[in-house]
Amino acid sequence: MSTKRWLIEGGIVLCLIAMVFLTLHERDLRDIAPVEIEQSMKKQFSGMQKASDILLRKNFGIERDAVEGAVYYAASDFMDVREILILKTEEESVLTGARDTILARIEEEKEIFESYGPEQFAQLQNAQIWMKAPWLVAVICDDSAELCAQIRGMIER
Amino acid sequence: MVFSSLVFLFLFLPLSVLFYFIAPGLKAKNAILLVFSLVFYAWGEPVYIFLMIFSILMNYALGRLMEEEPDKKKRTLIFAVAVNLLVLGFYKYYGFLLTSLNDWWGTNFYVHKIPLPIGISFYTFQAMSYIIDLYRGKFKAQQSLLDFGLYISMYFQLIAGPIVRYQDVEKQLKEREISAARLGRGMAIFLFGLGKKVLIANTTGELFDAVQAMGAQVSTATAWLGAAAYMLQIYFDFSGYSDMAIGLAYAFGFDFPVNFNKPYLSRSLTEFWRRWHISLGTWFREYVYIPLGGNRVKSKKQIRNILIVWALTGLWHGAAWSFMIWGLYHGVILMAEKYLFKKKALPAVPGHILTLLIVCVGWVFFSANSLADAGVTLRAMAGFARGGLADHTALSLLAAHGAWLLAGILCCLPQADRLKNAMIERNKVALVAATLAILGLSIAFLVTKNYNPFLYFRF
Repeated sequence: MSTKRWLIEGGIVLCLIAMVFLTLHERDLRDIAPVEIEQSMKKQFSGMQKASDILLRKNFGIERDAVEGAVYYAASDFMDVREILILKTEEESVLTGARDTILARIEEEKEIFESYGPEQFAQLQNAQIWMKAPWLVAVICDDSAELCAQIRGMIER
Repeated sequence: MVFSSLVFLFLFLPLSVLFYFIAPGLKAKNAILLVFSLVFYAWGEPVYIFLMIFSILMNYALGRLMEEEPDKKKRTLIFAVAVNLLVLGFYKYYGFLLTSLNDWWGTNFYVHKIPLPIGISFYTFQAMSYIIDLYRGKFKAQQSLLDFGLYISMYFQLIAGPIVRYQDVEKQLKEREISAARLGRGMAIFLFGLGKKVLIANTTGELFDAVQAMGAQVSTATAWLGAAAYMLQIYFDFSGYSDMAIGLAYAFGFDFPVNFNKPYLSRSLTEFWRRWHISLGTWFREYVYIPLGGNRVKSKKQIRNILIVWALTGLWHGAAWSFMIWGLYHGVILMAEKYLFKKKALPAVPGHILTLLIVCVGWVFFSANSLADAGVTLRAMAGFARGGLADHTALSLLAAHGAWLLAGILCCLPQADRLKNAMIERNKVALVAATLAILGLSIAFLVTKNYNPFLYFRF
């Protein structure tokens, strides 16, 4: 067997083994519903109001019945930018659509609050968005990173 | 990312066209296309981009090795096909296999949830066709990694085909016509495909979902309405996406083979499969059926070959028993047409109606979440529905969605294609008006409705 063949075939086999190992050891997702996360994290969501189905549809174009689960909290005051969305759906296009929508809104609001709303601007700046099918988690609040990590901790194995 | 998304239509597509057309020379244009293709792929599932790059590098290296060491061609072929099948098997069938083992043998293997890499079935089949045809001496190994990478990852056909064989685009990778006229015509084809997907597949899909949500409570009439809606949804979803791919390829200077040729006009199932997902049928014929002996072997072996091909066709579509049953169902009826009826065609109208019925029943297996669900729907369609023979639901659903159903049926007719082709070839004013109307309506639908699934994404 030529050295070149040995290198190519050996390299491919090693890559295969590595891919299988990495795929199987990637953290798996738990079979949990968004509403279960909501129930165990209600305290952290205090200060925000649970948004209606109408607001969910208006802000993200999401019909609650069309997805596996959606928990959406938003502040009632329009000067308050805090939001939490936990969405679970197998529809990739719905996930990416919701992610793109929230990213666009964050950018818009950053422009609005940049000059006169340092607190809101900081919250928007530190917004956390995590997507891993079938999940999308978007958190905009004071401690976004921590809250997002807690939600992820409940989703990921 | 899917073609029928606003990000693609308003950001990705304009940017890729712009950079492609300002890039000097074909090499630079190919490089631009490759970069955009990788970004397109990485958009939804960034991790799996490494899997695609692995596939490109592996098949490229093994192709060159096959040429450099002709005495070990067969060994290289076996190794390459085995690795491609292992990758496809692991990412697509691992869960199915272990779950089936657990169900059958009472084992308790932990089944990791592995997300299916988008388009893995399509690009793996393309890579295997390259390796097999290279072994057969149909062409020389591609020396340029850039061109080979582009062949595997070209974003137009990456996630939903058509499955393009290397020999079909080999010359175009090195030399092709790039012009404003091709761009215009390609975009027109793309927009007609977009209309098929957004205006007809999505709207009929809403009707199908509404029926499916009723579960076992449907009436016979509602079950048939749902089945008809799914027939239209899957055809317009997949053929719309194929048209978009073919149109984009044309705009960028590539000629892709036609993938659908008015399949619902077929008068037999054999004819249906000559018109439906043509590139997949060609692939299985060229690389599985003929190597197994095809029609040259005795009847018993032919039957075995047909069953193997159709079981694999079913499994290619999805890792579930319902898909395999769907494939075997088609295989058995094709065998009946071949051996019992000796390809004697029925008169036009009964042949057409019977074929539509056979295909419609087949889609029940295809669309069902499980074999049990398929059984419930089939019982309802056969008249044993819990909701009776007919109810008001069927009428109200028909009233709400009937216009789109009718539009779908009309678009299946040859006259619709003739009208489209006449506009593309001769009447530019009508073409501009029609494509603008389709674009406007599609955007309105995409903005106002959140329902935009893509059925063939999961394959």
